[in-house]
Amino acid sequence: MPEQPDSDKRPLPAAASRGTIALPRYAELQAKTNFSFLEGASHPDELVARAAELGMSALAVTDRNTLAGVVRAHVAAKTLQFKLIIGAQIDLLDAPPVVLWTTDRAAYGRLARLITHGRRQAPKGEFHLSFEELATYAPGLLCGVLPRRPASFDEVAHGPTSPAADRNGDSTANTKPCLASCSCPPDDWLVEALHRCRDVFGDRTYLVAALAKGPDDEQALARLITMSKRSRVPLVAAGDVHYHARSRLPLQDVLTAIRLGTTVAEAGDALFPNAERYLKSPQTMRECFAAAPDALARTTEVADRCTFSLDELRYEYPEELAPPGETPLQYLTRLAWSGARKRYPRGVPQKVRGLLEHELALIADLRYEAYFLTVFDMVRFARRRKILCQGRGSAANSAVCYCLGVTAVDPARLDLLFERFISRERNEAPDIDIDFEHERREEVLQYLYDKYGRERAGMTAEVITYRPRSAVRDVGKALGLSLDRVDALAKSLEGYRHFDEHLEQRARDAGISLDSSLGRRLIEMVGQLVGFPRHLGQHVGGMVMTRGPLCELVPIENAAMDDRTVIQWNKDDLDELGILKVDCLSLGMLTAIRKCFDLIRQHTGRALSLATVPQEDPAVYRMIGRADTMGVFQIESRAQMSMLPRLRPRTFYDLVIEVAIVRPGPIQGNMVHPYLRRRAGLEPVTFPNEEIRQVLHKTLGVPLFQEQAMRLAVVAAGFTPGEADQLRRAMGAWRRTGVIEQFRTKLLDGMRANGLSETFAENVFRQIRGFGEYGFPESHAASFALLVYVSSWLKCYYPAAFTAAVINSQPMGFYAPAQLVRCAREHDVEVRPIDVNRSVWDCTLEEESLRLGFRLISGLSEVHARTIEQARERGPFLGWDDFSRRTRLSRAVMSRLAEADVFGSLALDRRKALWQALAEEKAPRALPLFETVAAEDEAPAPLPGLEAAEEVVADYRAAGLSLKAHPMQFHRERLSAWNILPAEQLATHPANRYVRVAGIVLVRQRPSTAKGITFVTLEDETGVANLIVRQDVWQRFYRVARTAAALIAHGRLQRQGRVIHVLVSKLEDLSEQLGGLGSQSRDFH
Amino acid sequence: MSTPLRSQPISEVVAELTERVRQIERPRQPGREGLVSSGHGRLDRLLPEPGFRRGTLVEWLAAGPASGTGTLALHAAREAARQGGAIVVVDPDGLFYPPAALRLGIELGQLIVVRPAGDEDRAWAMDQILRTRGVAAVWCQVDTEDDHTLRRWQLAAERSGALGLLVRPEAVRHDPSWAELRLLVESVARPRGTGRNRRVRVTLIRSRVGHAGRTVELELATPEPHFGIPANRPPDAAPLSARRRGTSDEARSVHLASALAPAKTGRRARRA
Amino acid sequence: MLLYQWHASRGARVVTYCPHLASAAALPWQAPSRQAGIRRDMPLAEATALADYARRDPPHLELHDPLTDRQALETLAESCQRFSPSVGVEQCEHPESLLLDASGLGPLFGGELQLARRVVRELEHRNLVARAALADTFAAAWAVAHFADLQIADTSGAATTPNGSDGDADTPAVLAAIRTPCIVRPGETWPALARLNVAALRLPDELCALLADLGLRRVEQLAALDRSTLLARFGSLPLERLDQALGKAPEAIIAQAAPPECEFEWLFEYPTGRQEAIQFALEQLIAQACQALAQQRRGVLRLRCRFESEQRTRWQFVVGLFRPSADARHVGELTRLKLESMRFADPVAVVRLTVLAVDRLEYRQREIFVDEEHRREAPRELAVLVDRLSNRLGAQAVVRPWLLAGAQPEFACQYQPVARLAALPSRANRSAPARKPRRGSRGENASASGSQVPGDRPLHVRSHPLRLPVMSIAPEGPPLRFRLAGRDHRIMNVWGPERIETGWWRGRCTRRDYYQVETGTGARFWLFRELNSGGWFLHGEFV
Repeated sequence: MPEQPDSDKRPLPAAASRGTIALPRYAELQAKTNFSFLEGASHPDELVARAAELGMSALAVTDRNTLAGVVRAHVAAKTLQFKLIIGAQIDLLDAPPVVLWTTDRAAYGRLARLITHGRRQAPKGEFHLSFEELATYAPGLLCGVLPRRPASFDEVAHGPTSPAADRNGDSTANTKPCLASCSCPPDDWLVEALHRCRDVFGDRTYLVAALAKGPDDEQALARLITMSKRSRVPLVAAGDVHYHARSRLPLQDVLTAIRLGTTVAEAGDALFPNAERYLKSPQTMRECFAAAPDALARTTEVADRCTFSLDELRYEYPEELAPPGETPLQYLTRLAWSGARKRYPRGVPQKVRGLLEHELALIADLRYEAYFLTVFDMVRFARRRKILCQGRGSAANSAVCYCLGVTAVDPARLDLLFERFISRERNEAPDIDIDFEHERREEVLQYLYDKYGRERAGMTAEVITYRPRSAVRDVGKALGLSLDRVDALAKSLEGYRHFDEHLEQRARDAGISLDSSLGRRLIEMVGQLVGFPRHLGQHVGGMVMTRGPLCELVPIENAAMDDRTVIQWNKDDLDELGILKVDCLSLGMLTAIRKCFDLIRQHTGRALSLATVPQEDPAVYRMIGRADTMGVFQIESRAQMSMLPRLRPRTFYDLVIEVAIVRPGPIQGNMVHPYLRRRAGLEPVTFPNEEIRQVLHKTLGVPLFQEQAMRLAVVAAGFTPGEADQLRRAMGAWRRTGVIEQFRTKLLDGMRANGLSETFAENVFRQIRGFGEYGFPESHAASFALLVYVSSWLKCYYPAAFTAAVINSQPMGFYAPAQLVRCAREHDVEVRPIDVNRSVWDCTLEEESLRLGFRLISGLSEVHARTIEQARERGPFLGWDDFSRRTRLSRAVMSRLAEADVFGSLALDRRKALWQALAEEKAPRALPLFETVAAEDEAPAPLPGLEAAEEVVADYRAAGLSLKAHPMQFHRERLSAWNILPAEQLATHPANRYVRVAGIVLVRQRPSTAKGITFVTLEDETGVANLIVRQDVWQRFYRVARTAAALIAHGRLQRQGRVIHVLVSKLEDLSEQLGGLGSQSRDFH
Repeated sequence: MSTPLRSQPISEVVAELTERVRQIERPRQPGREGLVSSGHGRLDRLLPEPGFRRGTLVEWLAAGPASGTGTLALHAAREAARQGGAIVVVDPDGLFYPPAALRLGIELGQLIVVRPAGDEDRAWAMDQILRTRGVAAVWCQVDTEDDHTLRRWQLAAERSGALGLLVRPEAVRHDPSWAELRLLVESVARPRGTGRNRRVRVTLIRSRVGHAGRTVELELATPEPHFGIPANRPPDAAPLSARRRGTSDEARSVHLASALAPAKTGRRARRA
Repeated sequence: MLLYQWHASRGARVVTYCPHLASAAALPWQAPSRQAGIRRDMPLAEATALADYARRDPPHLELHDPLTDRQALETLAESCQRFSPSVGVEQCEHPESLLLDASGLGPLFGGELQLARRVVRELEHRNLVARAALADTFAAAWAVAHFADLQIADTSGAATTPNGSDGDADTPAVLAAIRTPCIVRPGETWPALARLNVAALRLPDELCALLADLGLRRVEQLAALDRSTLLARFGSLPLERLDQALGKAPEAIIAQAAPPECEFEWLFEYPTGRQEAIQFALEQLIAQACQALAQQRRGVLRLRCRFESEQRTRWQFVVGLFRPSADARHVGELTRLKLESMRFADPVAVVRLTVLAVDRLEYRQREIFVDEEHRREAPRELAVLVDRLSNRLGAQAVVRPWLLAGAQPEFACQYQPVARLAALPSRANRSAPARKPRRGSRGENASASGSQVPGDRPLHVRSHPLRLPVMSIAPEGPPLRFRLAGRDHRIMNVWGPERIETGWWRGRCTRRDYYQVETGTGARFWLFRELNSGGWFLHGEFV
């Protein structure tokens, strides 16, 4: 690592130190940020800040084929009031790369469009563009030609170097040493390229000269000057900047090594030979370009020609939202009122009427009507397609949205203030996320792409950044640490989001000494790398739609998924520029609810919708209070289930709280217990003043929602809404840990000024910090609570249909079909096995009973299930031969079916069926002649029958569950001999005693908040046992804990009310103890 | 100084003589076929024939330190290996720097560096190398060397057709020579600030066929600095040389590689 | 120790795990230990973690080389030829058993049991645990060796030698049980087989699993079924194996080829000190050896020549080749070089030639050069040259440059002995490490930084720069004059500086400003200023 200070801090050489010469004016026109992934080694803001500090007149951000970093640079420049030029380096397939600078809004649009062009016609992550294509976007763009040979020139340049050609030419041709990597004759390609560029860009063409103390800068510069004269393209100086300070050289080397998948030591000439690609001061640049002062002066000329700022970008909503002859606002108003009449057939209540008028006025005022119409359009599409969806988010729980059908949360039932979320003073975009059925969200996305076109719609990017774990992995590899060392260290950082003193301890544990220079370098590099963007992913569902072409706003590129296109900015960037996006998310529970509604309608004729499920049913709340919520939305997790009996929700708003309270924010902010105590009346509910009462009274004085935290900052600490918003973002910006601390002083001071007590202030700050980015907004909680209620209601009244729907929507939720089925049976639902004569692909209802579907059979595809369904249309199968002839399924599929034991109605047990299946030819019944011939002369084979235990194991293997018995019950005798309790006895066994339980592992869960604690749920034939495994125990029994399918757990029984768990002190692998669960148990991997 | 010639077994001497006779009997092919260009047209024109004849020794006498003589001689080696064959550099002092050779256009794949420990080993190694078919050129700095040894090298070169390039100090100017040609190379200082190409003056001071005494001044072009690597080529991509096409190039690049490739399998087990 | 294999699509997978390095000599293709929960085919990373937790230190990882396994087994087979003239390695993808034809051999060893015991003991000396079984048929012996009860719970079922397969089976009692040979008396094959698991019939795992699904676990159950129904469902394999086990179908040992006769000897009637005579003898021996090897399409890699006098004085030398050769002339030349340098104090009575290493001959390369005789001979001659030079000067003295392309001139290239070079990729003249492109960083991303091409470098560069007194204009300016070898050099022209800052990963960062300088006589040198200290060095000369 270079130990010396940056050269700019050294005493200036003689010429400058005379002090008579004014600071040279210089604008750096070529700088890569770390959004040139694994290439640039500084954050955009670092570059901007340094450029401003050095007194440059401007800085151009020119990342390679991307504009992904410009917004961040823009934000930094704006705060420093520093001039930023937006540009990009564009690689061309058939010409030298160029740096393009944008002069105005139109030119910017063309740059974005051209990047889109190059990205869209290349595979993800790549960029293909020809010079000819570049030329079509030329107007308004300044073009700096980089004197670098494109790959395609190699072939051309090599023609004349073949020996024959060498000898033909005059002998002088031979005096020039011909280098493999040097063109000959030299520079013609560059002159040609300059001419081409000049023809296209005219006087907006420049030749970029960047000197980095290479083998012979002097001569290189001389040649560039000559070339510039020959081609009459002016020369402009630049720094080819890759980082803001020399000290980033090692990091840049590491990035290069990572990019090439090698180590720094082996990267060889892929590394820069020196640290000269830092952001140099104007003085230093002047020394470098002493021989070409014009080139230096020209930098400011270029900068002056660039007047574009990202502030000029203006987001415009799509136009086609309102029918002709109607303004969007008129249309929205009409829709809202007609919707209201439908929602309230018995007359719109006065409260709602008032809300509607108020909200519409506000929308008109802030001109958000197009946004609501955009959302409405998507919801209408989904409804037409019978895709269940629901909006959530601040604006979603408005009366307008309720009337538009975007949400089913009746505003009459809630007391959410619209203004709280759309505020006049803070020109913040309304926030509506829409959840769609997870199996069908893609239809909605494709609808948007179709409707607006690829040019006007795109998905938001997600900038994937380095976390400690990934940084350790990559840096370790680049530094040449052994793979297992790196793995060990990286693994030990699992779950750590923050880079801190943990790392040092962990590095030591992994055998990496911090005293060694290698260890120090590792820590240092990791520290720098954390937070660096690594690549662009796609946001979970944010779609941006525009009136004009989106690709003139921001470049669009291909996503990893087919048929998806992504813009180069993430949601913060969009927020920054005030560009609206709509989040289209997918939610498994919506699928399940829709399927359940369908089943109920088919079987009872009762038509239900999210809005028409009977409200506030006490039976449903009683069920919830019992934590009888397996399969229900959200409140089925271990943490939620243990909270339910304590919270005992009785109203819809209790559910809203329940959803929000079991979150990392409230848990880390230590808000849960105060709330529970106050709810139980064990603690008085007090408020320091009336304003705070206003904010917190609904949650008994404890802030549980993100909005409350923000409001608190305003009413208690005197934050402006804008500042509160910054606070919210600061909590999310975990890269710089110092940011949140800045707000601490401001918060505490503010509260002190408002006469609030020190303890209260500290408390509030802790709570706000606890929210971090995990805070849950009330508006989201309300929408989720509705789904919680609806799914609970369905489970309560239609358990069979509910179970079928949830299984049919797998994968979703926490539990596997086996548990769901078991739960249904406990609720007296009769569950019938899969059968070739009864089942279809999905689970179905037969009267009150649940018939399992073929989808449970692992390894069976839907096509085959459909084949069976179709063949059955002509009547039930009469026997094996009949089945085999009519379905013509292959031997492999037949064997699958046989192993799943689905031939019960044909009186074939699984072995007999399998025996039959194996005799099937690969191409069944090729000859129709034999169709009628019963070839069954074979005597039935003397196959041994299965024991009950074997049957169960075979069931589990084929379908993941068994209706016959629980595998554990066959071992109960032995288990009892070992003093192992059945799970059901845990409820009555004396608490705080050591117990042993055993069962199949249902779930292993390690919430990020639980300090390394792992929750394990075991199941035996009597019920489930909840285990808590502390980290040390987990480590001690790592292998068993992590891999065993069934466990014996020893530990202390803990019981608090209805919450029962075992605090584990020892784990054993049950199948090892039993010598295999089934006698023939083998491992099939 | 050893005299391997005398201690040679009779059989080998006979074999060598036979070979020698065969060489003489074989009609010398006129024209350019057996000639290797020096890499410089003006220098070629200075020579009795326009180039160096394969199977001969050429002595390059350096008129001072760091004069460019070795570089000039290596140009000839590069030309000799254009049709394939190895360039062997005999480098007892370990000073030879391959990246410089690469810049002169020599593919490192054709280069073998031999580092004999002493004069005796060097003499022996040179002899072995020069007599090997498949060696296009040998480049070696030779200060003083025994007359017999040089004679022996010359015979060896004749047998195989290798071009022997001996870089020697000017001091040996009056020593007897078995070389076909003897050239004196002097560096010429450039006036300040007149460019970077280095200048040398070459004098043909001895030739078996006369013509001696003429002088020519050459400019050795310094390789132009270039502007970075080709823009779209990933730095880890195969180098250009490996991607070249065409039969002669192909033969050149595959040549040594395949010839020298040892069998891949089973080594570990055998050793174990 | 963890042995792993690399799958193109699935990444690194475990082949076997051996908790103790000491017993790592166990044949490695056995089912891996369950002790730490490590299973065959598990992703390597997971297994590493498990082993880590089990042993508290990271396991030693090694890439599995099936060829080495097989060769090791073949070597074992060779060594077992002292027990039986016909020894073979089992014919399958991952052989793990040796088959010995013991027909009629019992009496020679004092009974079949004794024979089996001696084999087991022999292997024990090699730190191997083996189980021996003797039966009427190979198949039956195999079945019994693998599956007969040990009287000790063996959960894995498929393992032969439990030290690689089950940690807690390492107890002396278990080992003793394993090492007790099972002898199936003539005619008792069926009773010995009937109760064994069907896997004892050497059926593929999937088939065994399928049979288990049908409840068919023992050989007798399978044998009880109608042959035609079996054929229809499982193909001919189970029937074939059954027949082989019961001696109804033949199965032959594919005997291990006898090892090449490795030693050749020449006895002089009258001991001699004459080089020619010894040379002649040696050449005869080499001719014999080469002929013998050529028949097996093998060539010499290393050989030892040993000379003994009647007084038992010994001299010897070893010759190595970098490419296997069965060319007596070539090998002869190499030995002659060595022989020439030998001086025998006493007359030599015996010449003994031992071939120490051989390898398969490769004829492939020759086909590339088909144009003319010269070309055809050239590579061979070059190869001979390399051998010859390497033998006399040492392999380190015959090298090929290998550009590392590091920025620091000393590290910009590396040499490898030609004789030891692995197969050279055709791109061998650039940087050595084969880099795999990183996902998502191909294309334009990858073309980034490496913009440096070595500048104008001198033909002579010192591996250790020479410190020089140099006078320069300013603390950071170019040099004016310097003193070298007692002479002052005035610098007329100077080009630079070229800055090199690199190597921080090696410890201290190397920081230099390089200048190319020309003196008044036109001589050119390469100097640099060390930036940390300000000192000047001569690094090279443009000779």
